[in-house]
Amino acid sequence: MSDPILKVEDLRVYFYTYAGVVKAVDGVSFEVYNKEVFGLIGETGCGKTVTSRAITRLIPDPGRIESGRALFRINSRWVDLLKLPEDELRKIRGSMITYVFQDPTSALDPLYTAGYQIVETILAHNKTHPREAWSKAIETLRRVLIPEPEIRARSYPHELSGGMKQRVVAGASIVNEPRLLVADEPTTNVDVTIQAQMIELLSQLKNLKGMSIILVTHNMGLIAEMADRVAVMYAGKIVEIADVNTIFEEPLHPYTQGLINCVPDPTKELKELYPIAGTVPDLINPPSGCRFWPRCSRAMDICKREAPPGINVSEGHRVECWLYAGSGL
Amino acid sequence: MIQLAGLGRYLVRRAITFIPTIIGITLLTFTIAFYTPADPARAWAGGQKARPEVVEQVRKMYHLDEPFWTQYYFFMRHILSGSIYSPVTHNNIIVEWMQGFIVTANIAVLATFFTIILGIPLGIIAALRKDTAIDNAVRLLALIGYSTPSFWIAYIFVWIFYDVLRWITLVGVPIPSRIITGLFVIDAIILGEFNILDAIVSRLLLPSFILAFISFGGLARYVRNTMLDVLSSDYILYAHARGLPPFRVWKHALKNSLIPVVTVILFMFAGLLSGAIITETVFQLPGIGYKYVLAINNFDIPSIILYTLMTGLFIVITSLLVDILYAIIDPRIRL
Ligand SMILES: Nc1ncnc2c1ncn2[C@@H]1O[C@H](COP(=O)(O)OP(=O)(O)OP(=O)(O)O)[C@@H](O)[C@H]1O
Ligand code: SF4
Ligand SMILES: [Mg+2]
Repeated sequence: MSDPILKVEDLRVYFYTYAGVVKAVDGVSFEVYNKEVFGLIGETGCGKTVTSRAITRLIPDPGRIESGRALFRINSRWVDLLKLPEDELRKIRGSMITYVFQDPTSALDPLYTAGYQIVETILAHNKTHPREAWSKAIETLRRVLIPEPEIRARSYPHELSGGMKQRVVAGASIVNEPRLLVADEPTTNVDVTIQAQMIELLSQLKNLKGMSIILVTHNMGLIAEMADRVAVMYAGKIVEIADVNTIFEEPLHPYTQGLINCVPDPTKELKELYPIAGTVPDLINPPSGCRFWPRCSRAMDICKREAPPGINVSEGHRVECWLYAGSGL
Repeated sequence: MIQLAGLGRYLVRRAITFIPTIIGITLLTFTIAFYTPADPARAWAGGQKARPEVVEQVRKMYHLDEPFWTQYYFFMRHILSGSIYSPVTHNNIIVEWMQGFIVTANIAVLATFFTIILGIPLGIIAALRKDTAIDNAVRLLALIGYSTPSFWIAYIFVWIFYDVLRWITLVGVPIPSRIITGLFVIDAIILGEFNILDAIVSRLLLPSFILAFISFGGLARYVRNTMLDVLSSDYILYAHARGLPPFRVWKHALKNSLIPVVTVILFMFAGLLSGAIITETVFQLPGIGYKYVLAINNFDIPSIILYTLMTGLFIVITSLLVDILYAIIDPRIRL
C-alpha cells in the first residue's frame, strides 16, 4: 500500500484578480499511494478543485502556480509534472492522469456528440483506427452504466440528463486506463441508485486495473464508504491528513472535529447542514496566523499571530494546529 | 443536425412572419411621406413654376388626390408587381434599384472580404496575445475605425489617390462585357478582360476599403472577445485535461467561436447591401445609398418606399439565414 505514485510538495496556486491576489492553494503537501482512494474534503471554495487540477497544470488565467512540485512516478522514475514541457505533459493528461470534471454540463463541448468526445480522447493517446475507437467508446459507455450506449454515443450533451453526462465524463476518464483518476464530485448529479453503482464501478476499476483515485467531495458519506486516506482542506491548506478510520474516530483538528460531529447521516451533503459557525474566510486577505481561528472555539493567542506548523502526531497522521505543538513524533 | 422536413416547415412559418414585417416597414415609410408638408405632385411636375394642369395630371396619375389607404394600396400594388415608374426619373424603379444594387453589392462583397481578412486574424492574434501591445493596438484600431467619420476619411482618400496621385477615377462604373457571377472583379477575371479589371479595381477598391476600415477593428474586437470567452470555457480546459493535441483543442475552440462571428459578419453584410450613403455619395458611385439620397431629395415616394422595403427585407432574410446557420452548426437548436 505505502508506495506513493504522486508526491505533491508545498503547492501554491494564486489567482491574480482585479480585487486582489486570491491565495486559493497555499502550501499544500500530500502523497497518493498506489491503488488507494485518496479523499480530499472541505467546504466549498477551500481549494479542492484547484489543488487537484494544479497537479497537471490545468490552471486557467488569471491563475498561476506559484511554487511546489508534483512528482509523479513513471516506470520507477519521478517526474515533476509542474516542470514538464507542455507536449510531454499532454501525453500524461488524459492517459495516465485523468479527470472527472466537477461540472459535466460545461465540461462537454455542446457541439459534439458524447461518443465523438470519447473517441477523441482515445485517439489522442493511441494509434487506433477510428472505427475501432468508436466501438471502444460504446463499450466504455456500457461500462459506466449508460443504457443503450449505441444510441447515447450519438447524442449531443444537451440531449443527455445531468447524471448521464456525468457518466460520459467518467467514461472518458477511464477509457485510457489511467494510473491516477481525479474524480471531482463524481456523484453530485446522479441519484442515489446510480451513485451506488458509480461507487461500485470505481471500486471495481481500482481493484481490477490497480489505479489510484483522488476523490474530491463535500460528501462525508462518500468518503466514509470509499476513501482509504483523507485530507481535510480549509481555506487553501490541508489542516489534517490521516487514514479514514483515524479521521472518523480520532479527529484532532478542531475543524475536522466539527465536520465529523455534524454528520448524523453520512449520506447527507456537508453543504446543507454546515455546523461550524462563521463563514469561509476571504482568500485575498486570509486571517493572520491559523486561518481557522475566527471560527475556532479553542483558539489561543498564538493562533492569531502565527500559522501553526504541520505536526506528525503519529505515522501517517499530520495535523496543522497549535494544540498539538510538541506532541509530534 | 436539422432535418429537411423540419427546415421546410420552418421556412414557411418564417415566411409568414415576413408579411407583417414588410407591411409595417412600408406603412411607416409611407405614413412619413404622406404627412410631410409638401406637395409631391407639384414637386414631380417641376416645382414652383409647374403649370397647374400638369400638377393636376400628375396628381391623378399617382392617385395623390385619394385617401391615405387608397394611395398606400396603389403604391404597394405597383411596387410589388414591378410596374411603377419613378415620377422623377421616369424609369422603372425596380430596374433602377437593380442597377444600384449591383454596384452596391460589388462594394459590399469587397468591403466584407477586406473586413474579414483584416478583422479575423487580428482578432485571433489579439486574443492569443491578450493584454499585450498587440491587443492594445487592435483596440486602438477598432476605436479609430468606429470613431472616424466616413465622409472625412473618404475625402482624405479621394484627395490622396485622386487629386494627388491620380490613381483612381471618379466617374462611371466600368463593367465587364458579360455578367456571369454579378461580381465585376470575378467576371472580369473569368472573361480575361484585364484592362477592365484594372478599371474596376481602381474604381471600387477605395470605397470598399473605406467601408472595411470602419468596421474591421470592430470585428477584430468581437472575434477577440468571442475567442477569449470560448478559450476560458470549461470544455476547453477539459479538452486539455483529456490530453487532446493542440489542433484538436483548436477545432473545439474555432467551431464554438464560429456561430457568433459569422452572425456578426452576416448582419454587417446585410447592412452594407442596403447601401453606403456617405461613401457612395463622396465617390459618386450610383449604388443604392447614392440613389436613396437622390430619391429623398426629389421626394420620389415610390423609390423611397421600395428602397426602405428592400433594406428591411435584407435584414429579415439575414436573420433567417443566421437562424438556419445556427441550426446547422449547433445541435441544441431545433428549427
Ligand atoms: N478562475 C478563477 N479566478 C479567480 N479565482 C478562482 C478561480 N478559480 C478558483 N478561484 C478561487 O479559488 C478558490 C478555490 O476554488 P476551488 O474551485 O478549488 O474550490 P472547491 O474547494 O473546489 O469548491 P467547491 O466545493 O465549491 O467545488 C475559490 O475561493 C475561488 O474563488
Ligand atoms: S491552531 Fe488554534 S485556531 Fe487554529 S485550529 Fe488549532 S486551536 Fe484552532
Ligand atoms: Mg470544486
